[in-house]
Amino acid sequence: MMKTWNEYWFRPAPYFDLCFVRIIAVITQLKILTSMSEWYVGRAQLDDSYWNPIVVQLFLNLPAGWGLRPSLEFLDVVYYVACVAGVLSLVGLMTNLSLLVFTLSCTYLISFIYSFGDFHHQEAVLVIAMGALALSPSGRVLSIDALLRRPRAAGFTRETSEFAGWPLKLIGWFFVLMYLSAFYSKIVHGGWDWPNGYTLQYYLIRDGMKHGSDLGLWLSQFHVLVLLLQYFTILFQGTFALAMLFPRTRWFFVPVGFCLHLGIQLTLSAGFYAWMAMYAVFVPWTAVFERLLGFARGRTETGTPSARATTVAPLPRA
Amino acid sequence: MLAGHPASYRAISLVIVAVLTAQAAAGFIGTGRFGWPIIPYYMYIFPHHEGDRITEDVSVYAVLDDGATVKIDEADFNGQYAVLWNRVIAPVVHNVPGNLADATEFYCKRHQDRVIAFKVIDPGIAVGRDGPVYGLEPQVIGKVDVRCKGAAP
Repeated sequence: MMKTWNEYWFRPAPYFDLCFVRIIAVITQLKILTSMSEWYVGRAQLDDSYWNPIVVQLFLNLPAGWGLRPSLEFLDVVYYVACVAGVLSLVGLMTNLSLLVFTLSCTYLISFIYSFGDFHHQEAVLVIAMGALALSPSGRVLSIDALLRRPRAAGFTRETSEFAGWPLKLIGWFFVLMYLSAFYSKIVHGGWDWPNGYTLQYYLIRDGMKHGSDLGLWLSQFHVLVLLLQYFTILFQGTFALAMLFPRTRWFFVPVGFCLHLGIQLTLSAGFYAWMAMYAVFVPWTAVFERLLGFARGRTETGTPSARATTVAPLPRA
Repeated sequence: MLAGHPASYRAISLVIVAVLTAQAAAGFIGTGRFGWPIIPYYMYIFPHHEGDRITEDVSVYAVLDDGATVKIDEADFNGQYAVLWNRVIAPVVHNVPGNLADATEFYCKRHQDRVIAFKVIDPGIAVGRDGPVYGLEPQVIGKVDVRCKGAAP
C-alpha cells in the first residue's frame, strides 16, 4: 500500500511544470494583493464589535496574545512584507523562504479580512497551493536561485524529481474536493429540485443587478438553456474526479472547467480567476514548451514518430 | 532539499493526508468560515422557483417610534456592503434578532433610543420564465422589532 502511495505521489515529474505553476500562482496572488489594501484598511476601521477572528488569524496573532486584533500600522507592515516576498518568489530568489513568507503574510491579511463575518471562496486554493510550492523544489528552474546555481540549466529543462509532482497532484485533488463539496451542497441543501432552471435564472438576475452584468441579465431570459447549464454544472462538479483518475479526460475537463469559470465571471461576476489560474496544475507545461520550441525551430512536422515521441511528453499521469 | 527520502516521503505524505482529509471533512460537514483556508464550497445552493422575489438592491430602514423610517446604507459601515448585509439585512430577512444587537445599539444611539424595528423592502422584481419581471409592488421581505436599552418602558 505504501509502495503504491509513494509511487503515485513521488513519481518523478519535471521541475519545469512545478516552477511554471509557481510563477502563475505568485502572479495571481500578487494581483489579488493589489486590491487587498483597500479591504483590510476598510475592515481595520470597523468597531471592535465586528471583530470575530477566524482560527488562522487567532493562531498567527498568538505570539502577541490570544484574540488580539492587529492595528492598521501592523497590517501595513505585513502588506509591504507580502509585496516584497511576492516579488522575490516571482523571480525566484531564496525561493522557498520567500514563498513561505509570501504565503504566511497573504494568509494573515486574508484571514484578517475574513474575521468580520463574511468570506469568499476564491483565495483558499491559491493559499494552499503556495504553501505546497513553498515546501517543494519550486525554485529549481525559472529562478534567480537556479541561475546562481547552474546558469546553463536555469531555463527550460526536462530534468525530473520525485518531489516535483506532489504539489500539483495535491492541488488537483483539492480541486476535486472543492467541486465535490459544491456538488454535495447543491444536492443536499437544494435537493433534486435545484436544477430547475429558475434557480440559476434567479442568481443571474440577482447578481446581474448587483454587479451591473448585462450578460447575466440577458442570459436569464433563456429558461431551457439555463436549465441545461444547471444540469451541466452539477454533472461537471460531480465527475471532476475523473480528471485526476484518468488524466486523458483532462482534455475535456480542463478547457470546459476554465470556460465554466470564465462564464461565471462574466455573467455572475463571481471572481474565480484564482481557480482559473490554478488550473495550471493540470497542464503538462514541459510538453507544451517542447511543442512550442519545436514549432519555433520548424522541426515538429519533420520529425519521425520515434523522434517525436522523445520530444513531446505525454499528459501527466495520475 | 528534502534529502533522505523515506523521512521526506513521510513528512510530505503527512501534509498531503492532513490537507485532503481536512478539506474533505470541511466540504461535506460544512464547517463555515472559521477553518479558512479549509472551507466548504456551498455556492448558489438554494433552489428558487418562478415568482421568487429578487432580494438584491433592497432598501433597508430603521423604523422610529413615531412611524417614520430612516434609510440605512453601507455608508454607515465604512462603505462596506458586506458588513451591512451581515449586520442588518441578513438578520432581518432571515429573522435572527440576536444578530441585530450591534446594529440596534448603533442606531439607537444615533436616533436617541427611538428605534423600534428594522425592515427590508425588495425592489419589486421577480424571476420569471423569460427573465426578470419588473414593476411589481415592492414588498416588505423582512421586519424585526427591536428595543433600545434607553427606551421608555
